[in-house]
Amino acid sequence: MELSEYVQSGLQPLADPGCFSPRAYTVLLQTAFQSLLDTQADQAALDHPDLKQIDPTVLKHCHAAAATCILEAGKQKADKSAISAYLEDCKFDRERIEQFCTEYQKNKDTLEIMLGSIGRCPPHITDVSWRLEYQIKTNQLHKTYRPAYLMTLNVENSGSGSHTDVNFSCTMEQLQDLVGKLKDAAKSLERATQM
Amino acid sequence: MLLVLSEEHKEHLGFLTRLDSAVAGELGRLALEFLRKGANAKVYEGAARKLNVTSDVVQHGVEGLTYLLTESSKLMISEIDFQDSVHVLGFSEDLNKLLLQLYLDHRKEIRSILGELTPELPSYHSLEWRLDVQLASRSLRQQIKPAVTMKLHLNQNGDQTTKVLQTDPATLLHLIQQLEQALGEMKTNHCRRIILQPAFPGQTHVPTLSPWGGGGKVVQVQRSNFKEQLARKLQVSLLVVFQGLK
Repeated sequence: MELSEYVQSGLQPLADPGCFSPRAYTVLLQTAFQSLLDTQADQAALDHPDLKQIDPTVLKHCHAAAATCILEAGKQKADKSAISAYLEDCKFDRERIEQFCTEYQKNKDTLEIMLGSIGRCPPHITDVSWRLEYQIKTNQLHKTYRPAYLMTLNVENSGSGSHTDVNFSCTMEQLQDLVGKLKDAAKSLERATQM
Repeated sequence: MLLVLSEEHKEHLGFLTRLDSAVAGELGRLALEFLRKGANAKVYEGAARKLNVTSDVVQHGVEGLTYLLTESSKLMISEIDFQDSVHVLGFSEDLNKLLLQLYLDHRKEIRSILGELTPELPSYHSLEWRLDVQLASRSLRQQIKPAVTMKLHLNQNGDQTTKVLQTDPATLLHLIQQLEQALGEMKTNHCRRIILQPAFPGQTHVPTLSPWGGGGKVVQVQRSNFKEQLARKLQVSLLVVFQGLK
């Protein structure tokens, strides 16, 4: 793992028991993970009583550095040895490294899910609604007698979370064609599991 | 059902009584051209000069005939009703027969032209699909995330639009299940009783897998030495889904 000067200088106070007492270290570690993973994280999380003695600028720097370190480890899917090696270089003692790794292990899956969901992709289909209708007449043409399906694909746009649904109509033959193609895709998926 | 023609309409059509069959036939052809392509002022002027009337009269005659044909086609009135409606105009027997023939020969075409005026949603044209596996992204390395990317082709008012969409394996299976339910509805007794159509022919589909460019760090499955690793990882996520739905 390679991290910038800013992060390294932010991690140094965390290694120092004189700057961060064991309790303060624990609290900061938990706060760092919480602020990354908990969607309803309190903005004033750093206002913990155990962190009061530490200078606010230093506190913010350390918090940012810890969060960056966590994210980098998550991104690289780093294992315990990689993280330990890096923290050792930052002069962390055994106990603090153990604590960091335990906390990381606890939150690893959530972290990966969160990181995996960041990114751009084509609009994602989440659901489909359909309506079978039978047209009897229009103002231009009476006695049309035409059945048709009205389909709505519920679509989510990545990031913005907006919903722009795709609406279209189709005849029974067209719907059969569509279902046939989707089934081919599913069969191809099933074949991939048996490779 | 009888057509009710307004006085103005009858007046316009009155022009036809003064013509012989050949010319009336020609006017009928003009009426159909008017429906297919719109008014053609030059042709009306030419006809007007030959018949020694103003071009306005010719145009009204053509429009009147067109309206007669579209109204009859729209309501799909029977032969007898058409004859009775036209009888009111006091045309000769020959002219009546001519008009009836014109109506019967062309009403299917006229109905399809009128059908194009209906308000419509984009309609399905075709679907292309592609199986992708995301291996990494800027925020997370070493992923194996299967996805199905699709290109949906839709027609609207003669233009074709395409939409690129994506879905995951679980949603794909859900979509198939939902759409098969939709298809099944057509075969229920309730629908069969109402929908007055013969049985639908079966359809054979040729799967088309068409690779086309995409953005981002998504790699198409290609190298065989990667397949085993992929299969193992996919099995975990996919077989659970398949078993859950069986």
